[in-house]
Amino acid sequence: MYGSLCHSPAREFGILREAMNDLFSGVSGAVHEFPPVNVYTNDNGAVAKAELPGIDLEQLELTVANSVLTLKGTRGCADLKNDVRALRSERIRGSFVRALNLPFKVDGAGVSARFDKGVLTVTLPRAESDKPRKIAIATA
Amino acid sequence: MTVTETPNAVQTAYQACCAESSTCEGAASSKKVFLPRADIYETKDTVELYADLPGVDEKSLEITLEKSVLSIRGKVVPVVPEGYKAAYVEYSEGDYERSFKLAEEIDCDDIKATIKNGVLHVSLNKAGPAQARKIEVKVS
Repeated sequence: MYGSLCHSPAREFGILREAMNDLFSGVSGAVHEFPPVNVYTNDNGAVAKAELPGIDLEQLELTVANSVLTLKGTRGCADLKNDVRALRSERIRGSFVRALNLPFKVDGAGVSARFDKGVLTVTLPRAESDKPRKIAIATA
Repeated sequence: MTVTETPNAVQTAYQACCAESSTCEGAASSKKVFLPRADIYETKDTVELYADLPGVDEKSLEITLEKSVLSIRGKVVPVVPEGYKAAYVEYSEGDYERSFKLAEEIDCDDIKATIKNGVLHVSLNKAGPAQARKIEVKVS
């Protein structure tokens, strides 16, 4: 999933660190894809939130097709000059693709997205054609 | 990466794990506390620290320096979009806390911090080399 990681040893340490965090936080079976995503739903649609601190919005692509929301992008490496030494490198970088299958068909035209404080929020309205329809029962 | 051999100008002083921090806070809050991911780069004259703090802005961020320990604390108010219910959760929201011990060579009076799109950047200047001083010997 991480296309072009700059420092893979750091990533391995990151995985270990996450495992330790999980151990203490009591969260079991947590997913460690990047970016982490939360999805909230109701009868009329969904809101997806993703933690993408520092992402360059030019490098982020959001698409919706039927019931699938796709986040695709790159979190670049810092532009380091020759005389710069990395002492610690924990932040995840590289390219990523995440596809989320929602439990309903999305009204593509009504989708909106906002980026604030490093958190992306996508509002996904459910397509009218997908909403349950109440059927009137005629008597004979 | 040759981080371990380098004379670390900044070291992690302590890493409070989630469980530890939440119990320390006692009954006052059951909010989770996370260790933000950080990158540290050393250049000839400066040490640059970057940390991922999604959901934190300049108002909810507190940076303190006490006895050469730089502490970062970011507060996040967990938000579930109104009228929605969590359907799929990969990350939980909570505060961020982390401390770094600064080496003696850091000029503690000249520390700059900025936060943009959920990424904190702390710029630390190295103090100039101690000047060799000649001590005059007076005749008593």
